Amino acid sequence: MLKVEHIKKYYGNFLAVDDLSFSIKEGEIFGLLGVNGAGKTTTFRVILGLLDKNNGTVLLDGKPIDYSVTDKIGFLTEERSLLLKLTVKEQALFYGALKGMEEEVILKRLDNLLTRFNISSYKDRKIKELSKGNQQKVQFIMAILNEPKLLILDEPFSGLDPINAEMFKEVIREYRDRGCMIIFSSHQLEHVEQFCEKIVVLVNGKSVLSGYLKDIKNDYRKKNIRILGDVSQKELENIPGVLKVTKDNLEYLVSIKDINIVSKVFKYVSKCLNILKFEVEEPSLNEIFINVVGESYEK
Amino acid sequence: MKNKIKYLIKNCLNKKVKTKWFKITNILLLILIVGIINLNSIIKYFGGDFDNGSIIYISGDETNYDIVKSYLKSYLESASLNSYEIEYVTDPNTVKEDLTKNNNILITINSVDTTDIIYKVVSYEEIDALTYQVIQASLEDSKTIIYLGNSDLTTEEKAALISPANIERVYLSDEIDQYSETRETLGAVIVPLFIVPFFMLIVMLIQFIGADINEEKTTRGMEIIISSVPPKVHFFSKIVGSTLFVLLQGILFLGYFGIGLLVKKLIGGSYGVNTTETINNIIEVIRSYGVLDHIGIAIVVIVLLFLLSFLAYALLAGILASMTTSIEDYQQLQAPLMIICVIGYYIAIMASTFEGSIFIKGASYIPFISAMLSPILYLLGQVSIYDMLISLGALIIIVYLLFRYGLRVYKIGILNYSAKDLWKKVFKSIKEK
Repeated sequence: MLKVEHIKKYYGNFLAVDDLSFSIKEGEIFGLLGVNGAGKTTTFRVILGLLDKNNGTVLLDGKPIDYSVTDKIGFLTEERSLLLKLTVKEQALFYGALKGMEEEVILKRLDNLLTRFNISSYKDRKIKELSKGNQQKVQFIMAILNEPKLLILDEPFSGLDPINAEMFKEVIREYRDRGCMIIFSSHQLEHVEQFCEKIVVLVNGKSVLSGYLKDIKNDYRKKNIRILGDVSQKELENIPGVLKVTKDNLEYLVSIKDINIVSKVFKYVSKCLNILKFEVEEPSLNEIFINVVGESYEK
Repeated sequence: MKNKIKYLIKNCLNKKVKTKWFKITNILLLILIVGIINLNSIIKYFGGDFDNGSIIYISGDETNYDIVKSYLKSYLESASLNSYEIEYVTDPNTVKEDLTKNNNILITINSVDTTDIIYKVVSYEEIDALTYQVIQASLEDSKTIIYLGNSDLTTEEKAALISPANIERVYLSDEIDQYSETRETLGAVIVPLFIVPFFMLIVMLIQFIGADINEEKTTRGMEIIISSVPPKVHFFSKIVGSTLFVLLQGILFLGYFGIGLLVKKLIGGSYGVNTTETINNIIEVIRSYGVLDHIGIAIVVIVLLFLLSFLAYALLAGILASMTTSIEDYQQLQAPLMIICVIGYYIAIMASTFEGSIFIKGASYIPFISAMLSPILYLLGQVSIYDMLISLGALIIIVYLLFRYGLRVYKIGILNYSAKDLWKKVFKSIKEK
């Protein structure tokens, strides 16, 4: 289990991470969300021990993270962390050795992973010769080469097409099923929604929303109603508690203040003709994120 | 962790050695060094005007021809003027036409009587200074011998006359002795022999470390590395790996120099007429300072001075490289380091000229330049073994401080990607434990 408790990190007088706490169990995927500069990368660096924290503790299986456990951690950085002059094989041998792996094991795992990601033919190619997407694949392979117990993925889908993004998701799910703890950061919130059981949303280094995604969505007061039929947009907007009405193809998407407004909307819709759909939806993570981050900025 | 250190050092070394450019560069270096050592032979091999066989015709008094010829031959050989042939002609007019070709020369010997000989040197154009000096010296010496042969002096008297003058050189000043002139030669020999390769290797070391660290830092590969091994281990492996590489390159330089000398010997070149004499003189001078009395400990101290200086430069270069965010920034920051090295180089050159200089002696204690100055001053008899030990002590302290405080800067610097408040961050990191 990874336990992050009350960590604080200052850069000079600037508070980059403010009293952040969360925990991840084995086989859980955790989403660390926030706009650029919110403190996500700093949090990753603190967890990895790359930065000294000013306060708090980071425990992996009850022990502080130090160089005796880093061999069990995999890390994919947001920017490219590959040495471009090396070949894929040389890069794997280098990072693998730093994780305390034997050459034979490294090469065996590398072959398997290259095959899995359909880039076997690039084994002896220099990294600088590869496309951005293939470099990202290699970078991901390097992060999981040591079969980590804790996998930190900072924007793993950057530069990937939908097919390759799906391939990544498959592998991430496999690692989750094996019991790997995965911390995940992405600006593409639909990916986070598909994966993460738990999330933390950071604003200016402070957690403004945290917990299980399911609970967050349940507890989130604002809901959406999807309606297909002959209704008037204007009349819907006039119902008290309706925040916004947008037309999505033939359907109307009605944002409401809370669940109590549903009956009021239903009352109106039941009077209308040709109603084919009336569906109450939970808001998307993207919607929650924009709402929470927006609200936090306003405070 | 031990395996990781070993791996990182090996990796750092292999990255430089196991490349095609290392092989290509060293093949070129071998060719160039062997070529420079055998430049004379190469120039001669390709020939030129200097190589056209010229003839020195001798005409006139035939009885003295053999004496003049033997002196001329001997002087030409010692001046390495091997393209000349000597030939006697009865009638000088027959070769006048021939004098227009190949810088041929005609010498006529005209013995007026037993008291005087008149020589005439005829050429179409001017004769180069060295050849003319050789001809002049040969004619003067042969004249002496010819007159001695005609005189009534006894054999002992003749031998005494032609033997070299016995000169005892006396210096009234305490600062000048019989070795003063050789001392200048000593400075001229030691500086290129020790300091130039040292200077070259230091420059290589500074550049390699900077490029290596910046390559990992700019690609963010540093984050993966430092998340796997402590900065201390990474720093240490870079320093040791790069220093080992430079030492390996230094050994290869020595090897190429040896091959060059061997080739010179094999193709029949000589090391110069006065080489053995110069070496003997230098050894004699060094012995006169009492240097050879402590030669064992002196060699150990000199080797340590060189090794620790490499280490000090490597540490400083590593610290500077960690602070920069690109190789271009590092190239600017390495300039002061290079200048320190250049200062050491110039002071070392001046050491034999400004004998007993307090400034130069003081400078020999300063780390970073002590490895260039201290051994030179010791071999010139200007500092004692104890002075060299002080230089070594100062260097050890600096290496320790650089490692202790530099590591703090390195730890912060390698993960810093912003040039903003750089020096503030550096000084802050020095204070942090």
